[in-house]
Amino acid sequence: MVGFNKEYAQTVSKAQWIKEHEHITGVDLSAEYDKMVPKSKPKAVPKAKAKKSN
Amino acid sequence: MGVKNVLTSCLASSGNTGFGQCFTDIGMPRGVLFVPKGAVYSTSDIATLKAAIEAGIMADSKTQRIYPLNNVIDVKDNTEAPVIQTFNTGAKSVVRNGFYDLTLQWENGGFCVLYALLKSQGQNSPFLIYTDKGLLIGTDAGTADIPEQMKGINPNLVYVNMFKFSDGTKVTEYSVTLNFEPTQINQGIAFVDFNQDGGLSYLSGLSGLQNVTLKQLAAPTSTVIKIGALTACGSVNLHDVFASELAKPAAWIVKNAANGGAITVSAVADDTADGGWSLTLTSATGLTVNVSLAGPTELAGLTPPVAGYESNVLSQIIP
Repeated sequence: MVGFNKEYAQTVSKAQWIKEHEHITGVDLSAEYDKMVPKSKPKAVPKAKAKKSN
Repeated sequence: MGVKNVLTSCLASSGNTGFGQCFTDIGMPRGVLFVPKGAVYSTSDIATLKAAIEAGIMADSKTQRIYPLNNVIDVKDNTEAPVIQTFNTGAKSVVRNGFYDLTLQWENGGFCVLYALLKSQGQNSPFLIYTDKGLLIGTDAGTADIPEQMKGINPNLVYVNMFKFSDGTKVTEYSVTLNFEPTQINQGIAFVDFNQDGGLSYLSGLSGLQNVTLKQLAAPTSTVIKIGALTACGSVNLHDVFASELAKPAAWIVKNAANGGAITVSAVADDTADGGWSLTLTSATGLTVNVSLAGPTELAGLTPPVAGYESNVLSQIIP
């Protein structure tokens, strides 16, 4: 059983976080990081409204 | 009407002595809750009072904490009789009341409880007494604005007696003596009847915090400290009971010993082999750090809760 600090994970890069925790065995660190720091979805680009013609 | 030159004690009206089917019977003391000086408890409803007591027992601040003494098994009443002067005419006059003087003996918890109480020897903390009738007794603290309040009985003396050895016919004796002015629980009594809310079993189940002693299980590395935790009384290994519950950063506090600044605990791993936990620290290289379990309130707030513990502070030198 390992408990991770989610708030801390959100402040560092995935690579740095994995390096800092590589001494912890038996855990998929990459998956743990992704659980705590979900990849943000790309924002949808709103369609430009067509100008009404007078 | 003013109060100058008025003997206010003569203004009180007489009390009616009738009673119905039920009447108040105080009963025998079975335990004591030592409460913070100045603490006042709402008696507007029992749920509120229970919440205040339970929060008080878990209080992170030692000065704001309630310390229960439970399972009293023997009460010696050495209360002084009223001092009465007899004149040569045969007339008598009451000089003063005698003080209550109760010696309460416990067995469960034995020397651990005695040792804990001895740490506050001389502080004369106020206390609430609960009885076998399920009554919690203190002193009225009601005001005109807030009449539903009670506070602890203000003692003249709380003395934790040195233990007496077992002599082969009696158990080792652990006791505390409470000496206090009697009007506080006579004319000034405030009691709450818990009989519809758990009664004596609720009150006697209010356990105090257990001390936990942290120990180093292995030499620290630049990022990891390995910590074990034993109850100070009985040396129960908390890892046997809360291995996964305490494998959480929120269960631990690490501070820079030099300035008290918080050190982030980025991970806590249950270390089954060593019977403890490995804490991964950030930015602690070269520092001396102070490690402790989180406060009692925070531990009780974990999911699932780890209620009823307070640890010492363990220093670790991070290479």
